[in-house]
Amino acid sequence: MSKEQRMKYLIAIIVLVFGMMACDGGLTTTLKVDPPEFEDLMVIDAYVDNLFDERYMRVGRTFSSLDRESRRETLVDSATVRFIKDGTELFQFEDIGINSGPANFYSNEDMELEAGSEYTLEVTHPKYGVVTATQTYPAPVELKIVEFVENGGVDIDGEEVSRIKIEITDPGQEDNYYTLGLVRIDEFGNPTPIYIWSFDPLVEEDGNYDELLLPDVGFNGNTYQIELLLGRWDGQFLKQDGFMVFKRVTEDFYRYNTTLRTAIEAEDFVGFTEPALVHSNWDRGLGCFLLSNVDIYPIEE
Amino acid sequence: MFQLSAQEKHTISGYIEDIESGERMIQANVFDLNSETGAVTNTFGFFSLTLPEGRVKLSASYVGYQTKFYEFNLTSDTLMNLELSSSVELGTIEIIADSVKRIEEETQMSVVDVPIAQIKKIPALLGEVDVLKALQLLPGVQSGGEGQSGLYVRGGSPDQNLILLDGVPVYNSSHLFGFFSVFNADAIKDVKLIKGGFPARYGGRLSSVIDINMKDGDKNDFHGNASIGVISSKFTIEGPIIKDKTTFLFSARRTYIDILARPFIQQGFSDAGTKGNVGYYFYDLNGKISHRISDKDRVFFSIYNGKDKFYYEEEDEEEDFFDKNETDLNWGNTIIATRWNHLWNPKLFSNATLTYSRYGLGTFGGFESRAQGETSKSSLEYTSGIQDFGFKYDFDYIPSSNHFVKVGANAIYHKFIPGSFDLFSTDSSSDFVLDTTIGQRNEFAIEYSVYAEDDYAVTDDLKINYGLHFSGFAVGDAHYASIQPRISARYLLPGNLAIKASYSEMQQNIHLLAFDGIGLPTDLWLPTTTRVKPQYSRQVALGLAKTVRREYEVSLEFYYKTMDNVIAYKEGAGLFQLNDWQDRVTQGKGLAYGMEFFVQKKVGRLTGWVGYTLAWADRTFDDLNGGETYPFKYDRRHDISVVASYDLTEKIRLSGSWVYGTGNAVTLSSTEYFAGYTATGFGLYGGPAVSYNKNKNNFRMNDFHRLDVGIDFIKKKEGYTRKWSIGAYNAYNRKNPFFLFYDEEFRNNNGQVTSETVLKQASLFPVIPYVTWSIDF
Repeated sequence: MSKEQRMKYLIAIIVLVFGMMACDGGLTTTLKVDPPEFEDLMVIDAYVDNLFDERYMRVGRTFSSLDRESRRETLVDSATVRFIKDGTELFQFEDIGINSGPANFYSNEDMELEAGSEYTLEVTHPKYGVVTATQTYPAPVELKIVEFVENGGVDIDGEEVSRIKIEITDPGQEDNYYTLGLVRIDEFGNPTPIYIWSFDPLVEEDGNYDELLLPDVGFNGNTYQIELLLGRWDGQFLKQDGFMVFKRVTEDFYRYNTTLRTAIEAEDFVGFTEPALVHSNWDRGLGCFLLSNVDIYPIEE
Repeated sequence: MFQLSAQEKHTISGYIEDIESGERMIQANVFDLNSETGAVTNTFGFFSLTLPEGRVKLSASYVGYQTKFYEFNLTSDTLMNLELSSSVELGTIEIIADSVKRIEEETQMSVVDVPIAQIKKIPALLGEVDVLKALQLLPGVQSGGEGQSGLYVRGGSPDQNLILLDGVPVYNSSHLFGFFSVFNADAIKDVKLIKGGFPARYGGRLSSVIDINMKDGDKNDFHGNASIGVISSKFTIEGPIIKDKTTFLFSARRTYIDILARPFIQQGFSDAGTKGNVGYYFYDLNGKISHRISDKDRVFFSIYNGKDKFYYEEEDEEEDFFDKNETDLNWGNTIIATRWNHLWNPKLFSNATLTYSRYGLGTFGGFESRAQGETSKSSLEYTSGIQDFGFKYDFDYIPSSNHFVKVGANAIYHKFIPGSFDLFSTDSSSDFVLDTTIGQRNEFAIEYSVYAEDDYAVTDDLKINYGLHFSGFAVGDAHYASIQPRISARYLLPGNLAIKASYSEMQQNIHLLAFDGIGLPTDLWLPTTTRVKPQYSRQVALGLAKTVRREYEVSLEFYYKTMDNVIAYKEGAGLFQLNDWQDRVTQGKGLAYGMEFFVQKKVGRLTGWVGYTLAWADRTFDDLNGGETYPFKYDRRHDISVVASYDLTEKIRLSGSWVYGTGNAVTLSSTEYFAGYTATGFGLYGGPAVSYNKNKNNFRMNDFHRLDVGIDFIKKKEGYTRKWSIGAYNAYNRKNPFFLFYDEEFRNNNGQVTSETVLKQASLFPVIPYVTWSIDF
């Protein structure tokens, strides 16, 4: 065997060994690295509108990615929650305990919100200090349900759908943000969101995919029509037990929802998308305080 | 004395060519040993040297070629072609100290020429020689993710690189999601990377120019090359159509895993009771024809077409039932250049170019169903891309050996297709028909530029290259124009050590909306508009350069670059949203600075280079990271590359490359919370857990390092040369970071199962061996 032949065999063996190594252990390995420091912060979600005097909110906290146990108890008690206008406390939210479902603070105050006025929610806690967020209550905007077609044919996936066409008259000279949702009261009397979608380029899904978000970019100050779609199954109940919920919301809420949606999608495609920071309007906390002007509209064919 | 000063001057002009193939040489050197003046060839191999009348001893040289001498009396303007032959014998390359252009003599800095022969020697992923990945091994240039072909030059992003193939911009330079580049090395003659000190003739991007020229084709004989690799096969042929007048080159490359796997895939569908197929391939076609009309006129026609295609189709047919699903994702470039060289006189050379460049992405999803006599069909088609028509006219004017003037103008008509969906749906049961297009309308823009530059030898020691680049961009009602000054200077210190400095401003009028780190075909080119401003950079560089022991080019450079209006997605914005893309982006500032050290050896049995970069790069956007400055994802503090190939014998060549880089900056948090406690205002509903990513790119991944090794067995036989290339990518099986994620690990301790959350790293490529067979004939 010549020197060159011997070298070829040697190379072949090396390649084989490399190949076997490549198959060993797969592609994933556990790293022993110190992750970034955990940040203990309050997470507060509060949605106040003109429709309901009964208001629920959630005062929670962050938890560590490395501590699975800590995610089971994320509600915070012993907080004082004040609803303030022009420096004057209008009312307080009452602590209803950590075993009351997703919400742990409640108020049932009869209160008239004033369009264009600023309202502050202040949460004080012995550990986390004082955390505040301020919102301007938006004025109402008119929506018209132009048409509801229960038998709306099929969509591009071949699914049978119902269609609703709505028209919004948007006030000019300001950036406006809206949400559109459909709710059905189920047989137990509970409101249940109905999944809706739209092919309109301006419409976006919210963070929970329950409502549609609509910034007025593209139709600022004009009248704008949008077609919404829902499953035919949902459509047949809509006339009896459903209605449209139309909210004028704030930019903070819009940003909170769009960034939340991106964050969720980023975690679904880890490695291929940049993680997103979910927007918050709390000065030293997370979550969102929203004041929204809500109207509901019955659906008629 | 009077006679000397009044001595008449004449110009020697012509081309420098490879004696065997007739291929014209770029940046070859012509030098008169008597007057000690010289010139270099331009992109088309043309030179012009004005000398005093009398005896001339001319040398023509090029790296890797034997220097050739011509001695004659110069009595009038002379047109001559100089022919060089490559060094055949190992280690016998003749280098005449004063004849080969040395790095310290060049005015320009921040430029690297990598011989294509060297690129072909570098071991590559799956043996697929990759021009852009070779450039990643140079100082100041970084790769994106593991195995990616994207280039991050001096803190810039991939869209800031002007990639030119025969002078035509290439908009998407990657195949297979960025793992391979579109450039088939067998069809390439020359690759030049410019990182700073940009001459005025270049414009339109902030961070780099990658100027790639295709071979013209052998004018004397038919030659070819064929290879069979792990993932693709290639074939190249070149030769004369009309001897000494017209040449051609044709090159093709295609992957074939889809063809090899087809019988197995079809069997798989058949076993499941359906008919179908699924596959992926990419191909590249390069073609070029050059024709010499006369000694003064030559025309070139180049074309490139490349495509990636993923497809899936399945049919399910039974007695009274039929279902058909089709999915298709394809993307690719088409590039056409027609060029006309004309020699107006021995001192004035011109090149006119007509260009066409198109990049397009298309996806199609279709569904057809027939049941009980009723038929429904639906389809969704998405298209996006960019299309250019361009014209440019460049003049090289060499009035004396002290000046090399370049002037020119360029105009491009852009058509941007920002993404639209065609929806179609019919249902015979309900007579329903949907046939509509939604998305954004196409945008049209005109980009133009005019430039003038002069490479001026002020004294023997001081040379400057100064110029202005004026560019304009008209889109809709908006028009942006700027004058961008460019200057480079070189001063020769004692001991042939050159000190170099440069300042350049660049404007970029088109932007790429892209995900960081991975070259997806969905990356979208979009224009500057009234709302989205042009990107603008200012870069200053200072450096030293010297040739050591006649073989080693050594350079040390410091650079500082600011970038305005760099583009990024706003938080919460995504690629497939259909609202106006201008609402989804934000603009901010970038800063990059650092030091690069480079030693390169281009000739001899041992060739290669060592590069080291110490760098910082960050970004600041009002809308991102709370307005705080954050590290750019590819802010890589230390970056080392060692590339070497060694001709052990005439038949055996060893090669290797080793790279090391500081870990990429990524956004990582250990803090989570439940978010999204909202539904419709009728109560609070539970939300998902999300990470609290307070600071962008706050965490460093592990350092990256990798060794690639290869060995070539070359056998010369009558009429052809056969080569076996065997090697391994990531030879010591380093698990380099691709991304990080949290995961739950379960342990069984004597029947009691416990779990622990840990941070894990996903690595992409373990050691991957390759083998390639090729012949040159």
